[in-house]
Amino acid sequence: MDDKEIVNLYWQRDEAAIPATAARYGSYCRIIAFNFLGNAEDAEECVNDTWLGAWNSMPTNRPARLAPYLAKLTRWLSLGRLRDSRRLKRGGGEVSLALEELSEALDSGIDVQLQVERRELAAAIRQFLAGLDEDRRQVFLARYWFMAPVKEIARRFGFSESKVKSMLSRTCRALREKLEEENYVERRNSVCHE
Amino acid sequence: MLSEEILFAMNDTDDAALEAVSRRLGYRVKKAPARAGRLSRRAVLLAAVIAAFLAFSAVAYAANLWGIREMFDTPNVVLPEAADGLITAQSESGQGAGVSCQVTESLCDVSTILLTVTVTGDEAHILVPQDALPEDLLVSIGRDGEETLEEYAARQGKELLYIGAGLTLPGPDGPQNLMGGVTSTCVSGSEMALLIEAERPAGVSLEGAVCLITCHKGGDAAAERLEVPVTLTEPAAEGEMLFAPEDPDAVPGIRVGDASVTISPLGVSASWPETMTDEEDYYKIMKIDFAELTDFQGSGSVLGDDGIYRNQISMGQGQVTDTLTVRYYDWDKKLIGEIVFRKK
Repeated sequence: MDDKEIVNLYWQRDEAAIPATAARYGSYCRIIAFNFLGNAEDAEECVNDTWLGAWNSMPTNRPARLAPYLAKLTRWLSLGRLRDSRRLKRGGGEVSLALEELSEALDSGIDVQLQVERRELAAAIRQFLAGLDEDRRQVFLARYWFMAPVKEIARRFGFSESKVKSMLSRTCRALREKLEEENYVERRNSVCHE
Repeated sequence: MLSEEILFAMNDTDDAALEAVSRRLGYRVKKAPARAGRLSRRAVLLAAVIAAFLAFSAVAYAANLWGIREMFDTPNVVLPEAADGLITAQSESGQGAGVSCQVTESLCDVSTILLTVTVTGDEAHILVPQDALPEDLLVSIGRDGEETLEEYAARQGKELLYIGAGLTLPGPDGPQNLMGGVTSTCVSGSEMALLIEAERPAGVSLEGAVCLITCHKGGDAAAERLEVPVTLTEPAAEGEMLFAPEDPDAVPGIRVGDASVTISPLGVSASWPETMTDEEDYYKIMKIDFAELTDFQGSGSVLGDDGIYRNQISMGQGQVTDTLTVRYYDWDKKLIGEIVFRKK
């Protein structure tokens, strides 16, 4: 059963859509949720929430590709769980580590104020990523979108861990420069933000 | 904090970029076999226990145990003992370029067909399931090592050969692929055992069944198809029984029609039509179970060409005599209502 057939099941409100989605995308979404939550039970609950989210959003949505659609749902729900339980910075799987890395490059030493809505920030990030070379873009997304551990990225991409860390650090700094240059954020004081 | 905002804002990243990264990370999406309808609950369960079979593979191969029971049974789902009498040894085989296959066993029920096949490749190929990806790790085919399938094959100077399987029966417009799932086990690099589980359309004869094996080298190469005609045996089953609902509107959102019930050694098969009467209430229905059955396969309504949903289950374990009670639940698993069917 391909994506189109599965999406059609959702549109027909046929509950067979759920097991069909779970069979095809269960392990995929579970990995993403686990990367964020670091706990198999939480990840399983989050994946179940993803199926419910898919059921509730189709219709009205009719995604051409289910993999990224479901991955985004899973990621969003995982982040939401961590935020709601105030675990974003303290032990949410890879998230706390990744957030620390991002924070070092984006937040440290200065107090930055977001000047735009999240939707505009998202557009700016998309534009920034589109301008990167393939490897840098993929390593950045592997780490901060999929929350893959640095070690795993290094092995999968055939880079040393130090190279991956270096690429990530440089990309984060470049992102901050872009956001500052284009006034998405305003540099305030030399105060270290939390 | 900007870093947190970035994490949330990144969610809406370009789809193609995400797919490229997930492929490179080896986050695999399963490729379901070609089929015309829904996956059965069994297919989901089978997918979940493939790893258990893989660990078992070396021992089982030595004893030549790749039959239906050996491939079907899992810690959670076991073929009923009574079904052993339905298992028929098969001897049909097929030959392609560098690949041969041997159908080993079949089991036919009124609503289910199971078939086991062993595929053997030549020395130039490593056989992998059709839903494998070159970047998958060796553990995905039950082998130790940190190499990917692609790296492993390259080191051995071999090519990956993706093996799929299906079953067709003659239909009004030519051979029709039956819905179902396939479980595959890599017995060795050059040998793979497959269990095909297909849903048999109601009232369709078993004559003219063909086991279809596909062999694909990946990329743009055309897949080779081995078509092996198989002789399937009609099961001894009680005739179809009709059950009428006591109250066709007992569950909000649907009106049900008469249920067709058949009992065989594999268990109880039943199907009944459901017409949507209230869209909002209909959407509240999440799952069903039965008062008389402890287990069954393949829940879920399928919308037919006539615009009517049909609910069909098979391999129901339990006793159905004069009544069949279907209980409907909502998304919170709360009972919405039940339909009591009485034998006509």
